[in-house]
Amino acid sequence: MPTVAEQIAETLQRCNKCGLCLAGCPIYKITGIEWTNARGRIALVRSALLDKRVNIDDLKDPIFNCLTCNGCTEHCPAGVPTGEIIFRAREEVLRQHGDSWLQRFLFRKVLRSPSLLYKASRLLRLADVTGLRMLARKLGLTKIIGDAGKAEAMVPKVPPSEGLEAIKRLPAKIKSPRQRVAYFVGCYAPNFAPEKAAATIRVLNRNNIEVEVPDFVCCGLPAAGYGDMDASRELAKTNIEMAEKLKVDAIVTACGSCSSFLKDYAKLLEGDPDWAERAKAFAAKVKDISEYLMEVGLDKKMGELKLKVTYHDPCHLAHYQKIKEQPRALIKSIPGVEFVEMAEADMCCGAAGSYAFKNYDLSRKVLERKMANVARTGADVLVSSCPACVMQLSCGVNQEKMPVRVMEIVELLDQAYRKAEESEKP
Amino acid sequence: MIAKDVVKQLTKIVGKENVLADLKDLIAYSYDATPRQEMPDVIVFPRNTADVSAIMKLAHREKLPVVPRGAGTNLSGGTVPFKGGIVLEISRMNRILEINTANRRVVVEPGVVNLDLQNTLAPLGYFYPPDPASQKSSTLAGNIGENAGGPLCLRYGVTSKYVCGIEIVLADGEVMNIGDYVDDSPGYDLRGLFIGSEGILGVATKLVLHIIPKPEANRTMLAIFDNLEDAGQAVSDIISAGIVPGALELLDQKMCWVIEQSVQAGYPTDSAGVLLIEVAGFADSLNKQVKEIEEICQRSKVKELRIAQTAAERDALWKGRRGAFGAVARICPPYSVCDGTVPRDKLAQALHKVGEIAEKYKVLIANVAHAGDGNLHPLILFDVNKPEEKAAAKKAGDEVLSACIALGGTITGEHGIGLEKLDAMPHLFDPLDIAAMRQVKKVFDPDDILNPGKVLPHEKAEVSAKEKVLH
Amino acid sequence: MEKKTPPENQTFYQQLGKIVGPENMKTDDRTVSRYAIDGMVPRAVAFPTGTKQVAQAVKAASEARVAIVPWGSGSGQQVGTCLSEMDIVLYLSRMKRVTDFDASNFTVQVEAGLTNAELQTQLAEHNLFFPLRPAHSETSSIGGQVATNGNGPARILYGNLRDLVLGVTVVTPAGEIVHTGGKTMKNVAGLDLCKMFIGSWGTLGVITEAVVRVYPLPEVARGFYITFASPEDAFQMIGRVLDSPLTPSAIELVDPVAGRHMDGIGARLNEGEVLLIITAEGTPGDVERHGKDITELARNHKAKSPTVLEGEEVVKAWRAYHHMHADLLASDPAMIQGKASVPISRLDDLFREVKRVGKGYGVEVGATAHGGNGILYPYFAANDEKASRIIDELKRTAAGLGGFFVVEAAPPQVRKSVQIMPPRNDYALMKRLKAEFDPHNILNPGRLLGGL
Repeated sequence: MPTVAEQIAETLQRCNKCGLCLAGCPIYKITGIEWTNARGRIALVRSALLDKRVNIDDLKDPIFNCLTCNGCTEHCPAGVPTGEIIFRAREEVLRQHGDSWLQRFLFRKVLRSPSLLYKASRLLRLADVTGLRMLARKLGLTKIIGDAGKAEAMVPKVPPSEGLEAIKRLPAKIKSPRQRVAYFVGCYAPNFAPEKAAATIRVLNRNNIEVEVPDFVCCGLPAAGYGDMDASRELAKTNIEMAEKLKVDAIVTACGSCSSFLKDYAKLLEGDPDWAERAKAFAAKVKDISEYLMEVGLDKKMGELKLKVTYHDPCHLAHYQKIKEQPRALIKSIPGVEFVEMAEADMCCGAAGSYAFKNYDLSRKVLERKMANVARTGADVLVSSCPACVMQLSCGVNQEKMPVRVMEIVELLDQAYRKAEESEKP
Repeated sequence: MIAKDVVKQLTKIVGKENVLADLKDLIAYSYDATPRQEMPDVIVFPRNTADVSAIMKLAHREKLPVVPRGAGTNLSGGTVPFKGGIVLEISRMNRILEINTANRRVVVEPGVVNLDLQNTLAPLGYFYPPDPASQKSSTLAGNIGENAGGPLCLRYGVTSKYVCGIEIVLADGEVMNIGDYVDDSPGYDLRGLFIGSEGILGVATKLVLHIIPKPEANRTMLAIFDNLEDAGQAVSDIISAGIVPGALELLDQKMCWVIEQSVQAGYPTDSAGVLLIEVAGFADSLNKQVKEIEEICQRSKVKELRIAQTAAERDALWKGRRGAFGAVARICPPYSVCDGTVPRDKLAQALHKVGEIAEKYKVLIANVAHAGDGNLHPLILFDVNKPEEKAAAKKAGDEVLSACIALGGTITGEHGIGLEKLDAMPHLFDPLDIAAMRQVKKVFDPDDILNPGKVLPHEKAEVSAKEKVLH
Repeated sequence: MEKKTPPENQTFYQQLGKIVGPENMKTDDRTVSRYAIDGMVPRAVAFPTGTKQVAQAVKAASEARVAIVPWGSGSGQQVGTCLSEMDIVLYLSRMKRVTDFDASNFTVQVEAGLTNAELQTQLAEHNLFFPLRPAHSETSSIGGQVATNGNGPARILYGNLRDLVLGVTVVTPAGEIVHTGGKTMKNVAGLDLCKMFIGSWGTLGVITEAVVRVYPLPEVARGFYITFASPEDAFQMIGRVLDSPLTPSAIELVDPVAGRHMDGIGARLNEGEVLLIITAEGTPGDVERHGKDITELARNHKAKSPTVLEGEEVVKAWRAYHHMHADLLASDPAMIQGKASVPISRLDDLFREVKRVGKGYGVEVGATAHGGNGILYPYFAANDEKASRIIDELKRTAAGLGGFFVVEAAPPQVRKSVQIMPPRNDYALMKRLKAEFDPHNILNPGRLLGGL
């Protein structure tokens, strides 16, 4: 089994230090420190893994405070896959140090079971409803866990929800569907934003697509981001097996991070002869919601929404999947909407999954830059296509007290369709 | 190894968040965009001129080398800490202080990124002409250190034309203002001396730059040729016709192929070479210029001429050109790039000579050139794991530079001498010329603490002293 | 800096005669008196015929501690700071060769003594020109222009002299020949010593050759002469021209006082009016466009329609413009010409203030200006006491506007009594450069930094 170093040696050596990546790095723009940009991080990972000049233990920040947004790759003419290199470096760190019980519990137990995840979310809801969470915050108890404590405030109040089970009952029966898809709901929506999952299903149904909601588990990105590639692989195999039982034209998700990682299953399992082909087949079926709607053709019978709308590109959609035009085209299709492009629309918002929990200040600073760009557009509505982004952007809007509504693209489309339905009513 | 006390004193000056000295920091600041690496002893981020002055006073007292650095994207080893010491990183001094279009001036801190300035000026209808390929990452002070060029300098001139005044800190910490906000400042042109001095004369802490209105319109086209002489002839004829293109860039077949691997700019991969031509001026007169260029290209047996019709098409053509150097990394990460410049009408000859040299040393060379000013960029590729290939590449590069000199040119049009071209200096300048440069260096920095080892060939004494240290 | 020449340094003068040849060295009163500067007369004038001779002469002078004054055509000798002593004049105008003419690459290498006009004539045969049109173009030498950083109206389009000179060959005060720069437009090899020698007023080295960049003669050249009833309107129009994609080849302002000395349109200016000269050159299409826009702008700024001159008439008009300077200086022995440089947008304030200062002292002030560069040349005649006070006030005025003022042409006693160089904090470094290159202070002692 080749080592991590051997596996990524070629990509590490591909960097010729031209430095164009500096132009796309939100963290470098904040700190000005060379090892916070792609060139520097790659040089250090190379120094540790290939040249053995520095211990990988001494590279904690270079390896872990990278957003892995891949904004750098937009500027890299040599095509160096920074995000991938950082993930592999994290894998190496984990391999050398072993994982913690909490991490094992989280990635191998909780995220592998939608019902267990749901139960955990109810616990947090309890803390909300009883006021315990707010108390802990006010007493400064959350500060004990450092950045995670600060970031906790960004996680919204847990809404009432009946979990994935309830969502499974939402899809309508479609008479002559154009296509049949499996909806990959993800970890966030069933527990923290069930109404967004409902909107997704409504939009698909409205477009004459039949939807089923299988018991998919976490896509595996959080585990990979932590370096636990084994856990990711297990989760991937679970999802692949589940998908093989389905007869669908596509596997659709409304989370940019999920669609990105699901599509990467082919790479994740390419070394495993039993799973390589199956992973490839799975990945080929995965579609992000914007991508899917544009491919099948959007039903344009929408009501008018007189709104000024701007769009933030989730990193996993824009940089990893190169899906930029489709969401914009969808927004521009809505009658009455004035679309305004914001500056640095494809620059990371600072969410990066659980990044804020370990790098709160940097996350905040990245968010501040994004908010300034949003403000300059004068938009009423800020749309994105990833729960982490929407959560982060909502925090930003609240903190800056901006009169801007943040929503998922499916929610905007859903609103437009509902407007049309209302006006059709007698 | 630097005295622990020095790190403490630096911390006192700028605060601990502005001093880096861990192994990972030293590694990160040991390189630039060339394959050279040398470890510094500490990195310091000054916040303002006073910090820079205090740091230099300390360095002067302790006789420590100081390497001023912007984004470290230079192509000559200029920011590699050849003798270790302090890397003085100005990237946090990055504010635009004043924009005054009526005066045609901007005042900026040294760490402002070139493209950030352009993007700030664009909505005002102005621009700062020097547009090196690195502009989206490189800093304005770095551009000044190298007297940066770029494709637009064919029409507009090089950096030295657009720098009016500079606040600098000398080796002993003294702050002075050279040049001026206004024109024709009296006395010796210290500003002119400083530009292109690659950090060996002082540290720039504030820049007063000259900006001009954007041209009303531009038209971009790609001319495809079946042999390089025809392309070279077209270049000469365009210039002789009195046309001053905004840019006139030549890329050979190998370079086009490399570029298309990484960005889809639509360059042909099977023609001897292409010319990327851009003309700027009044909207109504551009069509005439385009026609004239068309005729000239046809006289030079152009295979195909594509004229960009939209802003998107224009951007695509430029994206290819601007990504050229990095795209080479896809097929071969370590490469050496020459910056030889010849009189424009010798360009085709020079390219042929480069081809011959490539054959002689059995190395792969891809060419991109600022054809309008005869500035060649042959990129010599080699396998870093094969020492004989590395040696062959070095020899080939040296011969390319000699060829440029023989054709009446120079060894560096815009990348600077740094470390990479020290050997070539004596081929271009005789001992008296270099001695005069050393005199200037002596006046500015008698202790040679500012970016030592760069630009001026190492005198024998220096070399043996360094060897002593290593043993 | 003290430097004493033994009064009877026979050895040196013998040596000098040997170096240049006895027929190329003159010590007779009639000859040497023609090379007087500020009342000082040289002991000898040498006429070298090439860079090598210059080098040998300077080397000998350096060893003998003899003060040398390099001489092109002499037009800049009595401008600015005063020479403190002179022993010999090194007359360079016998060196007029064109040593390398690369027409297809638009560069030409010339010896220092070639005059600007002579160069233009030779270039014109190849349909080229050198876009530098300073005052005294007919007589001043390229070497002199380079040494004094002499610019002219064309700078607004073609750049300053420092952007047009690609390299110079210099003989250092030690008598060594140094080559700087090269032949190519882009050249960043080593330190840019060429820039250091340009505008060094013969105090760091003797420029013997220069490589300059030349341009194809424009197809069309047209001049627009616009009379304004008030300077404010003229300056507003200048601002509009600068804030547009127009690329004029000159933006010059002339007031009625100076205009009296300019043949043609200038002479017809009434009090309070100003003349704005804008020229455009290039393709017929571009020049037409300039004409259209300039005419419209003139109308919008309450000026009458421009008088338009074409081709040869433009050349004549520039000649008249440059003669204005010599005429003004000749019109009164007490005439002083200064130069104020301020931010471009403050030129109107400067113009107004300069006039106000003159009025306050009951002195008529004439003015011309480079509208696109913020540079204004005031001319006034006043006795020593009054002159000194006016100069002080002009310095304060210019400094208050963010610029500086220097005295250029003036009677020697004025130039000797005034601090010519404006306050700057980099003089220490300049002095160190001078000391390094000319430790015995033999080249043009007293010039440039002398008064500091």
